[in-house]
Amino acid sequence: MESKQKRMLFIRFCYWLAAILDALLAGDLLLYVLFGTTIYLQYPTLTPITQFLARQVIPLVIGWTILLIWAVQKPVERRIILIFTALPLLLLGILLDLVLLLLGNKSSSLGTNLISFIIQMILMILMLIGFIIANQLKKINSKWNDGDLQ
Amino acid sequence: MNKKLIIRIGYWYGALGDALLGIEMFFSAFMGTQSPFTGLGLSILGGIQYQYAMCLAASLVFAWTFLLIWADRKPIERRDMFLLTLIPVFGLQISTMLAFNFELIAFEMMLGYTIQRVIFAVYYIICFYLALKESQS
Repeated sequence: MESKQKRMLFIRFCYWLAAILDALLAGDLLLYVLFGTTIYLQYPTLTPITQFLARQVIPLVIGWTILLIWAVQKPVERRIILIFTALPLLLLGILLDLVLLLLGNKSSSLGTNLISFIIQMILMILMLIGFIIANQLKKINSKWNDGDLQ
Repeated sequence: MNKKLIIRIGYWYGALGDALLGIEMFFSAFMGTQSPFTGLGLSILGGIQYQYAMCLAASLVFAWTFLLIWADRKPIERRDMFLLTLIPVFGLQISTMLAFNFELIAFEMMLGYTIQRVIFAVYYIICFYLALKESQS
């Protein structure tokens, strides 16, 4: 039982970590839109065009934050959100960042990308572990329920 | 018409729209002004400066596509996705209106997006209501 609680705590931690980082990213983008400065993204340029795109990204990032908070209400049942955050979102983000870096895009420096890469990698691994644990918990719960019925 | 079909069309409408937008954004992210889709969707203006941010947006849009397909597997139980999808749609609408205000996009384009999103939002609210009623019955 204690082990089950620890596992549940870890799964919740995965959701909350991603949600907090997402909220921070939204805050950083908001800083960029309002004051033209960022803490994490280190965007070198500030033009109406880049500001426009940042404004387009903010609702998507906030939407995903709310999605994670929604998922944490039923962490095992909604475990698919962990996979969606890890695989299409974070993995794609990492790959796209790397491609831009290789293409020599002015907006992506090695320093910025390295920090971003490490953060996204750690988060992706945590989310995947969280999903595996949630899956195990689901199976345990199913067995318990089957046992009750029998 | 079958209520469940209306609800499922809602998920697929969003998923297809998102997938098309995601593809268009990937092209914009990698090809900048050379993208064959420049002038459509979110990439109203090509340019190397925002390719990095475009990648971030493209990943989010693409991931949301999977989310809607997942919701379609259990359309009634996962009806919350309708309301959750409305959050980015609402934010994008504000952004579009600001873009028009800053003279980045033409009035016609802003109007087109607004009409499209209003229809989408109304349809999603109807879908959520139908799914809610279906779950109660």
